[in-house]
Amino acid sequence: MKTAINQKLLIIRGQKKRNKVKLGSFLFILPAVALNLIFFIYPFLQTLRMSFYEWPLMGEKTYLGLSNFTQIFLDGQFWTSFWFTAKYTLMVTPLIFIIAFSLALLINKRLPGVAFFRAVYFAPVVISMVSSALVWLWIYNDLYGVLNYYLLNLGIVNDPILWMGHASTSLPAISFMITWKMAGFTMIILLAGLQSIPTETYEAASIDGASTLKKILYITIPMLKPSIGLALIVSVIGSVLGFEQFLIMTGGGPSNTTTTIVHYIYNQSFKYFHFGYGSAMTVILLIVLVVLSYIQLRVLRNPADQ
Amino acid sequence: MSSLVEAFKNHKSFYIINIIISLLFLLPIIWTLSTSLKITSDITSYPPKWIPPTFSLDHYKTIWTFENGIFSLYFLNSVILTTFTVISVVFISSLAGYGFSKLKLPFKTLFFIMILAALMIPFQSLLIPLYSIMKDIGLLNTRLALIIIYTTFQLPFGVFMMKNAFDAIPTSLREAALIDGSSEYKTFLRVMVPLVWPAMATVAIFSAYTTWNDFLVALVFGVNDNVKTLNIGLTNMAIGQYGTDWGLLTSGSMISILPIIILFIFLQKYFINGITSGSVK
Repeated sequence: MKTAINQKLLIIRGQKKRNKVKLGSFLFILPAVALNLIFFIYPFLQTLRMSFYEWPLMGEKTYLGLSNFTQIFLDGQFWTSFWFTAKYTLMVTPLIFIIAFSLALLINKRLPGVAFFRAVYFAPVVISMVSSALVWLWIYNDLYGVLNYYLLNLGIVNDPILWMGHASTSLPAISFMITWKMAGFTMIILLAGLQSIPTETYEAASIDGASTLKKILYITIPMLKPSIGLALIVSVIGSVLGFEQFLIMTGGGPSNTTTTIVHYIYNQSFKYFHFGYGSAMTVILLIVLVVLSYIQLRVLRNPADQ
Repeated sequence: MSSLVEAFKNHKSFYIINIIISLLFLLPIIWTLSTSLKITSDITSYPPKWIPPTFSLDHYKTIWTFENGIFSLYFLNSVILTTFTVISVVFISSLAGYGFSKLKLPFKTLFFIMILAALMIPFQSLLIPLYSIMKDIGLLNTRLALIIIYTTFQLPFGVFMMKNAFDAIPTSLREAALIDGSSEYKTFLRVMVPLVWPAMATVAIFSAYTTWNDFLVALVFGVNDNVKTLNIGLTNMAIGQYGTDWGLLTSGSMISILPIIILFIFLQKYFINGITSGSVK
């Protein structure tokens, strides 16, 4: 009896003959693998290929070599979009981080009600970008918006501000909206890191007479490096890929001054159907993203790991 | 409750600061809700009033019927797409998670890495070839195309999550069931699935959240009205002729926000878990 069971076990574990993989087992992963191959691996390779072609929606495709790429470097709008996206990323990333870090420190306590506050700070994350953009577009409305009302009433400005009328006002306004929307997300990542720091470390520092600020500077931040790195990477990648908030709130205008990179790729690809040109810009975007993640990982690498 | 009162007394500044910040976080939503419940003439009255002078559900009634009920169609599309995507993501990733965790298969590691690779590459970079593929196989402007794309790009997280969940179940359990003569499929369904439902719930929530809130996929692949989603409909209204109709726009936004916020209130843990690990990967 026992040997029979052992025999069977060996077969199940695949250490015995009859080791041929049953087709039935393969069916478990087949749907996932098939979708991945057809709709991820193939299109990914195709993006790389298309970037070397002139590829209209219909008709002949022409091999161009690298001329899509040289054209991009001479494309004024590409650079406008590139610098605008960079400016947006540089503005929104520290803003989100500072707010999120403060919130995480604030609610890293074991007190009743903390779960409620955490949920409130996270709530804007679950709302769609479209709804968030509309909510804030209404707040920023030049004629009837609450923001202009209070600014005028408090005497901070003399005339209503046309928030979405110019990049110099729409960029900070949209950055503020995104901070409201995404701070809760970064907060959760940092909170998880904070809670993994042993309390003994702080206790020892307190005995040595360290102030709260010193504890944050010399214990919290160094020990939090991996979480900070993760939070920054997610936030930078999200900002570099920013699109919907600008499409809805400024439409990329006036005269394409607030058109982000993804927005410009979208316009080239799906408005003018320049698929090859769009793909070439996509390849550049991917390279930028890889380089950014690599730099951030290097800079923020935990000294203990080196 | 008494412990809360006690805590409040001992940590007054903590609670007061948090209550103030919570209010600041909630104000934009409260303002939107308030606007959506006003009559049109009160929306544009100055000074703005936080509490509607006259409460009215007019905008919530109009929005379902204006332009032959186009908004109802968008809403229905979002519901259909979300439902089918959630079902297919949970189903396919549970199967694959089990396969990758417990079964002996050729090229298993390679396939797993390929699926996880989809987490590193932003979906935005594949829009152009995906558009060509969908055009070639004649699925452009169909709900199926959207469901396929949503599923493909939510699967990596789902498979990863489900594999981890199955990894945590001892192999001996599967072996015991198989020795008792249960087939692989029965073992999966009757023994394994009941043990991993919290992971399945996290995947389902992540999928519902991602699909309901999606914008870009629907924008590119749903050009005709019959496949447009709530988010696309709202955007078209905002940048089109309804751009100044804030009664309609705020009530439309609330209709998009409410289902997901209600789910969030009840399933907070799954949301926070799913969204953070889903985007961080």
